[in-house]
Parts: sequence; structure tokens; C-alpha cells
Amino acid sequence: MFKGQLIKAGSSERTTVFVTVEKGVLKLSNGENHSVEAVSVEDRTGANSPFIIHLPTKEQLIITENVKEFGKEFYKHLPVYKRNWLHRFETWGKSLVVSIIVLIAAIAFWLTKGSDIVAGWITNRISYDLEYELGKSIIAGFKSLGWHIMEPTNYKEQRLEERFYVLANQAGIENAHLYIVHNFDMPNAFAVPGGFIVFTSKMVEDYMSQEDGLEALSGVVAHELGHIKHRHSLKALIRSALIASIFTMLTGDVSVVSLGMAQQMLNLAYSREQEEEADAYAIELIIKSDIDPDPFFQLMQELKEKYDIDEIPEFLRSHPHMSERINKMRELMKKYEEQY
Amino acid sequence: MTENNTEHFQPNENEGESETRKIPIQFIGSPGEYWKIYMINLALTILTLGLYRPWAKVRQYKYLYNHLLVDGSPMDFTAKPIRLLIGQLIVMFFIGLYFYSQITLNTYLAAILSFSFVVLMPLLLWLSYRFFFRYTQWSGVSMSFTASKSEFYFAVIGRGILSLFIITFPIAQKKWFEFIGRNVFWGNKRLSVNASLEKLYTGFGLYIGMLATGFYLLWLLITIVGGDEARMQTMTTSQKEAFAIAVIGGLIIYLVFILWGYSFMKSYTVHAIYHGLKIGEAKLKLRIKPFKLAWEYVKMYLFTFLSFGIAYPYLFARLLSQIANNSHLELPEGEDLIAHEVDSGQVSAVGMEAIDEVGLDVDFDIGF
Repeated sequence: MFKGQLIKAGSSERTTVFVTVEKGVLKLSNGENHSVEAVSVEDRTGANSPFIIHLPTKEQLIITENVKEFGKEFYKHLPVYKRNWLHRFETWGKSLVVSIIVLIAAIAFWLTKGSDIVAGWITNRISYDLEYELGKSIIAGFKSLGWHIMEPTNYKEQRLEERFYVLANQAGIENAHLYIVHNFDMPNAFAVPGGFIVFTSKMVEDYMSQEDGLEALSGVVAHELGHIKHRHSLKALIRSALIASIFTMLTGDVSVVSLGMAQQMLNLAYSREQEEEADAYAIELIIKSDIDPDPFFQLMQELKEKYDIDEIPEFLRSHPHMSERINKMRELMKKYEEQY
Repeated sequence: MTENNTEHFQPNENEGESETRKIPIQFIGSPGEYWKIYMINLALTILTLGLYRPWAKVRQYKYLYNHLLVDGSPMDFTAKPIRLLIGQLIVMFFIGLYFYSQITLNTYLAAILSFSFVVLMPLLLWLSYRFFFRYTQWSGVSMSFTASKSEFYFAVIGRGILSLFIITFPIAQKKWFEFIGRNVFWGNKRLSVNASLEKLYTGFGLYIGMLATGFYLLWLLITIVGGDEARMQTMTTSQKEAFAIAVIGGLIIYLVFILWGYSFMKSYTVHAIYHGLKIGEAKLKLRIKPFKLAWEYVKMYLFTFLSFGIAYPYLFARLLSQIANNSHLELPEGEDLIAHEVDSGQVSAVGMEAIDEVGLDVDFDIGF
């Protein structure tokens, strides 16, 4: 027999009752009998959590003493589907260890594969037209930030642009656009969703002055077109937004949304797989377009030597080692040459 | 076999106050168990990319409420997680829109969204209070928050204006808590808060005093070890190292003073609100002294900081337990603690979810 409190419907008036559970029936000392299947129990948390039971008469029956023993009696008569499995899990002895393992594994999974899978799924559901509009907005945004970003103007830039369109056509990318940004004193290039590729003027100036500079930069264009073809920029953008929104949901800190994501386009971390995919695409494209890949390899070698980028430890890098990339591309080149 | 609930009331031990009855308040949960439930729910939340969060939130509230017994009867949080999920999805849509404005650098859209959020903030907070109280229940009767939107806007603006000046900050707090208190009902019984202005000023004064003392000590240390600019330029390397150690030490002392000061303010504020709270004719009495409570706050903040926040749920439940177990209600003879349910309909969870996203929450006002 368990001591409980019976609360009147629509009022806080309480009376003490004694309860027994017999053959699936809750028997109250005031004479009321209720089938355990006809009552509903508020979700319980914790091993000694009181029972708050809603009776069909709109009254509430509250059990605060000997709850474990009452639970055993009560649940014995309740169908499996009506039992509170979450509460059972929470009160299971090993649930904390399991949860901490799950917690660590879940964080690791979402930060690596999970967010990639979800970002890929979302990317595939975004139309190319919308991606193009997004890219246009990003370019407009760069301009509003004060970046001197414009279409090719001088002879060197226009020569590169001609090559850019040849490669874009070969790749079957419509609406491709080349832009030159004049604010940075670093040779660099990056892809923006929707078919936009941005070169720094320093990159064009440095390499287009060289004899085989156009060939070298064609490799860079082909690599960036690889990112465009596989929609890596959009995917990376969605992935970083996804991680930020999960963080926002978990911590309640909306300020991470304001990280100035477009400003970070230059630093957007593609995964190593994406970089390798873009490299493989670049080799295929330049071979198909009858372009000599050696100047491109030299350019990569030069960048490696000049900026020591291979010094960054392996585990901190989003890009594979430059030497490793060059070797892989050379291997691919041999394979494709045999093929075509 | 029945008996009236008044039999639970314990006779007052103090003969001088024999005309009141003591109604016990107890927290029967364990901080360790709450921490465990918090971690389990956190794991499930991360595993489901945040979709489980409403369930986690309700379960955490339920743990704290269900283990808080007033006169032997548990409190309850009756919100359905699915309603919170709907609220969360609506809020996430707007956050998504804000993301979009950031990605595309659409400053126009970002400005509209930010401005709307600031303007709508009191409305969201109002909704949040309505939601929180609507689904808070004791002894089968729900609470409600009855302030109108316009009253709430005026109260928020008034609080903001009074908080602008250091000297009127405690008055802003007093007015705010009293406003919230008189608009909360438990069934048909009104709550009221008569927050002690003396306590609020004491807490705030101690905070400002500790802040100023800490800063003065830091400045003194820098001046004694570092001296003036000319002396600093002629320092040897070892003198510079000693100076750096002194600055770091001074900053740690300063942080300790801030921690103590903030704990004093929090403790006196909680004391002022809870000790001045009435439910109908029942008065809440806090038996824990403000200095003792401040020490508990110091420990909570310190260990939260040292554990990078991981220990916070444990420490919060521990503090709640200490406050609850050192509280009781006093009811004048002849009065009862019986309320009748008033149907206040359904309330949207959008406000609660929105203000949660910016780190605010309507809770016991005991935590950070």
C-alpha cells in the first residue's frame, strides 16, 4: 500500500489516499478504481522522481514516497509501449558512460563526416540558378566591403579570361565569371558559389609576366573550376553555417552567426577530399584541353617554397601537402595520358 | 481513509509567531543525478543535431521542478516538447535568414532583422514569461503571467532607463521584480514581491565596492612594481619579468574581487526577491543568510569557471537545493493555500526559444 495525495480537478485541494496496484488496477482508499492503461503519467526524470498520475476523472494522484517500489508495481501492469524508456535509460547505471562516449563520438562525427553528409544533401537540393544568385550576392558583398573587385581590364587579365572561358566551356559550366581583386598583396585564387572565380591581381601580375605563365594559371583555373563543378564552395559554406547553427542551438549564443562569413571566403576550409577531387578534375581538364601541366606543377612548387605552406603540421591542414598533391597529380596525368 | 491536506502543515516552533503555520519546502533531488541527466540529454541533443533540445530542456526543468516539494507536493513543468520544437524551428528559420544575410553580405536584410529583433525583444520576453508560467504547475494548478503587452513594454523601457544610472540600478531591479511578481498568478491566487530596497542597495554597493577595491589594488601593484614611464624604460630584463608576474597576479586578484562582488550582488538580489515573495497570503521565508549565500555563489562561479562550465548543472542544482531546503512558507492562521485553476489557454514557445538564443532565459533567477 502506497501513500499518495489526490488533487481535485481544477483546484489545489488535496486529500491523502492510500493506493494499491492489483491486476492492472489502481485501487484508491477513497473507493476509486482506475485501470493503469486508462491513466497517464507525467514524464519522470530521476530515480526518486515523484509519480504525477492523471486520472480519467481529471484528478491528479501524486506519489512521493516509496516511488521505486510503486514504480515496480505500476509498470508491471503497463504495456511495454506505454513505459517511459527515456526515464529507464536515464536511471540505468551505465547510461552516463554510454552518453559521454556518444557525446564525444557525436561531436567528432558532426564536425567531420556528419556535417559533410548533411551539407552535401542540402547542396544537392539547391538549384544552380539559386547558387548563381548567391554567388552574385557574395561578389556584390565583397564590393560593399570596399574590395576593388572587378572584371578583367588589362591585357594580361583579358588573356587569362579568354583561357578561363575555354576551360569553363570544356567543363560545361555555364555562367562562369572571372574576377580580379586588387586589395591583396598575395598570389591567390578562390572559387565563389555559382561559377565565380576570383584571382588576386598579384597572382595574375606575377605569373602572366612569365613565359609559360598562362599555362601555369590555367592549372589554377582548372583546379578552381573543379571546386565549382563539384559545388565545393557552396557545400563548404553550408557546412560552416551548419556547424555555427548547431553551436548556436547548443549554447544559445547567436553571436557566432555574425562571424562575417563572406569575409572568410578566402579561408574557407575545403576538406582534403575536396582538394584532391579538385586536383583530379584539374588534371583531367587540362589534359582534355591540350594544356601542358608542367608549368602548373612548377607554380605549385614555387608557392610551396616561397610561402613554406608545407610547414603546417599535417593534422592542422585542410589541404594535403603540396608535394604530395604534385605527386598524385603526376600519377593521374600518366593515367589520363594513357586513357586519352 | 482520507485526511485534509492541512494536516501536512507543521506547527510553528516559535511561540511568538504562533499565529502562522510553516509550510515546508524541500528539494529531494540530487545534484549528481541532475548532472547525469543533463549530460545524457546533451549527448542526445548533439546526436540529433539539436532537434532533441526541446525534450532535453523539458526534462531538465522537470527534474528540478518534480524534486521541489512544497508542502510535500511536487512542482511540475507541463510544457509539451513538441510546442518548444515548433517555437525552435520558427526561431531557427529567422536565424537561417540572418545567416543568409551574412553570407550574401546583404546589409539591408541584416539591418532589418537586427532592428526587428531589438524592437520585438520585449514582446519575445513577454511571450517567454507567459509560456514559462503557463506551464509551471503546483498541486494541479497552473500559474499564469497576466501583464499586457503594453504594460510589459513600458516596464522594460522603464527598467532600461533606471538601469542607465548607477545610483538608480537597485530601484530598477526592485520595480522590475515587483512588476513581474504582481502579474503572476497561481490559479486565482496572486503572487507579489516586495523586494527590500535596502538589500538590493547593499548587494549592489558591495559589488561596486569590491570592483573599485580590486581595481585600486591592481593599480597600486602596477605602480609599486612598475613605477612611472621613465622607470619602466630603464628596467632590466629580470625587473620586467617581475613586473609581468605582478601584473598577472594583480589581474587574478582583480578577478577574485569581481567574483566576490558579483556573488554578493546576486546573493542579496535573490534574498531581496525571495524573502519578499508572497503567494496569496503565504510569505516565503529564506533562512539562509546573504553572506552564506554569497559564499555558495562564489563556489558555484569558481568551479564553473575551473571546469569550463561542465560542472555548472551540478553546482546549480546544489545551490537550488540549499536555497529550497533553507526556505519555507508562512501562512497566517485561518488562511489556506488553495487555488482554483484558471484557464489561460495555450501559449506560443517562440518567445522562450528566441530569448534563449541570445543567452537569456526565464528561470528561477538563481543561476548566472
